[in-house]
Amino acid sequence: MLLASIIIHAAEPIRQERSAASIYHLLQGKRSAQTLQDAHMYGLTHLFGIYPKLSRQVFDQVAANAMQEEGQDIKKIMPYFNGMAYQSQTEPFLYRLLLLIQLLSNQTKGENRYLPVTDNLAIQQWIKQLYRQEQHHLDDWRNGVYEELYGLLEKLPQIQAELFVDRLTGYHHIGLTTVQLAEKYHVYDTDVLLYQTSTIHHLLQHTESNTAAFPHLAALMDRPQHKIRSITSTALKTRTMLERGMSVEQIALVRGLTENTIKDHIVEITWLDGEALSSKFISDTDAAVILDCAMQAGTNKLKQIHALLEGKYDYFQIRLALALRKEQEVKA
Amino acid sequence: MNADLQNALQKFYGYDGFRTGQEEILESVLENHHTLGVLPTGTGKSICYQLPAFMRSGQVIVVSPLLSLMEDQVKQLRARGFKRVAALNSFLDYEDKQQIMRKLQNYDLLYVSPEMLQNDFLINRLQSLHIQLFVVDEAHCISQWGQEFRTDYLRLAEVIRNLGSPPVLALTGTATPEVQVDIQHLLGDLDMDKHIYPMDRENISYFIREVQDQQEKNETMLALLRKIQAPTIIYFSSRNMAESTAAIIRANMPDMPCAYYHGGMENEDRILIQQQFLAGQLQIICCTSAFGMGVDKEDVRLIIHYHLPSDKESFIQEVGRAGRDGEESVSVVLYSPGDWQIPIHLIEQDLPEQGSIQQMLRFLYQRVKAGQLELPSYELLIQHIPISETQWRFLLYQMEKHDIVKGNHLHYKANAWKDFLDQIEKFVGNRKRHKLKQLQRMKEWVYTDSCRRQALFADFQSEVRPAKGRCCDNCGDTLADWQSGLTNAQPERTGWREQLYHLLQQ
Ligand SMILES: Nc1ncnc2c1ncn2[C@@H]1O[C@H](COP(=O)(O)OP(=O)(O)OP(=O)(O)O)[C@@H](O)[C@H]1O
Ligand SMILES: [Mg+2]
Ligand SMILES: [Zn+2]
Repeated sequence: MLLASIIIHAAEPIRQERSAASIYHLLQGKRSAQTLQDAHMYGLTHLFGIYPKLSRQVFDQVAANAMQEEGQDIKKIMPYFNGMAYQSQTEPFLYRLLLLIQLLSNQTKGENRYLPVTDNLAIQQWIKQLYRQEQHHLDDWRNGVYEELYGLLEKLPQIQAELFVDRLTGYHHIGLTTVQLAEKYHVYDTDVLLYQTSTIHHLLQHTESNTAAFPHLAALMDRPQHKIRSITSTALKTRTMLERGMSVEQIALVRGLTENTIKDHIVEITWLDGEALSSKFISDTDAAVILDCAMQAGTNKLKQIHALLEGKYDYFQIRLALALRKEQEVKA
Repeated sequence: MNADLQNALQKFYGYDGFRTGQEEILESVLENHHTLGVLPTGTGKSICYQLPAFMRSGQVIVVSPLLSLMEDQVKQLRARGFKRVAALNSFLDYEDKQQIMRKLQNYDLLYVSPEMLQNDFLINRLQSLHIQLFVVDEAHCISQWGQEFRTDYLRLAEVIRNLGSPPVLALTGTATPEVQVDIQHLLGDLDMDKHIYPMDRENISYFIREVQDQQEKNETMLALLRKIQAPTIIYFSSRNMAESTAAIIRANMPDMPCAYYHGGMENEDRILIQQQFLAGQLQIICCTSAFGMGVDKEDVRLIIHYHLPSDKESFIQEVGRAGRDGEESVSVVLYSPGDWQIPIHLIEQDLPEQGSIQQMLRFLYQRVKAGQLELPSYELLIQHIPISETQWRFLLYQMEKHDIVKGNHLHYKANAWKDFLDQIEKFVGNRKRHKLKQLQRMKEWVYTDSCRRQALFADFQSEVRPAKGRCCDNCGDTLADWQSGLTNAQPERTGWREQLYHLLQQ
């Protein structure tokens, strides 16, 4: 079971220090400072938000079984994921693609009476807009989408290509539901969704890294704005205020939040932006001391680090230093 | 023949002629008479209010009890190119709802759920429009003697008055004379033109197979499916049974594509399954009563009732999904003696228990004593009292009627509360007795040895027409000589490459 393998994979680095719930939040893509930090700290950013609809109940059940049988099939090949980069555009991209294919397939047969595969008004409007612009080039689009998809699906394991194509709806042909796909290919419902997410990440990754080769798929993507995308909007507000020169206390006061919350925001932003902001709160040397200590002791636990350094740095500074680690490693 | 109407039918739908009753109802509507129309299920009631919306100026408001049905209709109309339609119901998110409400004048045809009509803002907005017609679809829901009583429907008379008493059209496919009278009364004793057409369907034949247990039921069902080999709907009273039986069918008959459908599925999946059935990719649907109304596939040949509903109206509605193209079709009921427990249980569940009513009143009383006069939300209530949301809405309506609730507040008067308790007890008792009686009638129909067609429709109309083909098992008909029509099952494509090619390159 893919979900189980993913949970075990995520549990390995995380387990000693964080609860099972943190894995759940990670997969589900909870937009909290803590979850974003976990993702970065434990090198699990690729799994962030790959299963937004995962229910707690299903997770708990699968996790409990997975932990028991651990060691048996961990070594399974992991499908490609890049949650941190793509989680927020996975669904829009998927539904735009589904609706576009439905449109192109019907359109070429002269059929314009069909129920759209999604009720989402924003998606419908998006495709309508595209249609207005491109209505005289629909054949190019049909061929372009076909070729780009064909090429990219071929690079995937067969099961993923099958699962993806079988859910497409077009002229006089309706795509299968998750349950039907699971049945047809003998996989779990949960895994149908995960494979699908992986497929979309795969499409996004290739398209993004070579837009010239995949112009039609590229047109379905959001414009790149990576950093802003994965920061919570409340943290963004804090960043703007800090940049305007306000202090943590002032921001807390103005926004009616606690200082600790504001500090959470700063740590969150540091994970993504590096020193740009953190330098106001911790010097390079201090950060190095903390990181050194963490490495020597082989831990990420704040309490432990705090004690080892004899209380010289507060928790906020330790968290900032840990958040900076990725930067340091890259530089090194 | 009314030439304008003929032309409009041709222009908007591309149909050559009206079906029985449509033209008469339309004429009455276009003369602005209040109208009661009873037309058999699936014969085209919608046209009776859609056509006026397209032909004349002013808005047509349609009250419809089923959300999925409403949305289906709107989608289908849009797919046909009628864009000035919308559906307002509580499932829309706030933004979409506001957007529609702000621009009501942009819609010629507006579907609303009865709950939405309790919204003062909406009523206010509606008052500023010119409403040419107010439609109550599935009007039997207003009568407590109909099969699907909805308390929200009871307030419609008031709504109609608040909207300046526009012409009203009440439509239903299943209403006994008793229910017809009730509809008229509860809509405010309107003076209505009545157009009642026979509900029997000449092209459907009726069969009942008694079995001893579930295993025999499954075997009989499978044999029947092998024999008929045509688009089939199988009705169940529980979601689980629909799912598990679909699995059995798939395991036993791999070449007969089969899926399940019920109200517990996500909307997106429901639409896919329904569309697969319409497109002929699925041959068999195992479903609860959630599938049916609004499903408009013309060539359904077989309706199997794995479980029976608890009244004849529902049964007629469900069987009404068959043979919409006029070709011969079959209803088969599989029943085993133990089956009657299920509907009895459902009836019990439908209405609040005396105990929970008392519990609820005690809870409310305590809040009043503590100075909390505001009405608690359902979410809060459910933490203390085990009642369903339907039961709560039912009680809420009753409390308003007894002045226990005014607006959003509780009013305490010892006498009023005591009266309420007595009366509600009576009301619930009556309703339960009525439902059990309905069930009893369904049962008698199963056990009858006279013609099933006659027995099924005798309560609804004075004369029942003879069948066009087979009539029923009691008349000596069988399915032995049934010629299975060739199924137009789609060729199974193998592999994603072929499939993708087919979608985009063929
Ligand atoms: N005059 C006509 N000629 C041909 N087809 C028609 C005509 N009138 C209606 N139809 C078709 O018959 C089908 C059933 O119509 P409709 O859904 O309005 O029936 P209904 O009576 O409301 O059914 P239900 O009992 O399910 O609510 C639709 O596909 C409709 O387009
Ligand atoms: Mg109808
Ligand atoms: Zn008969």
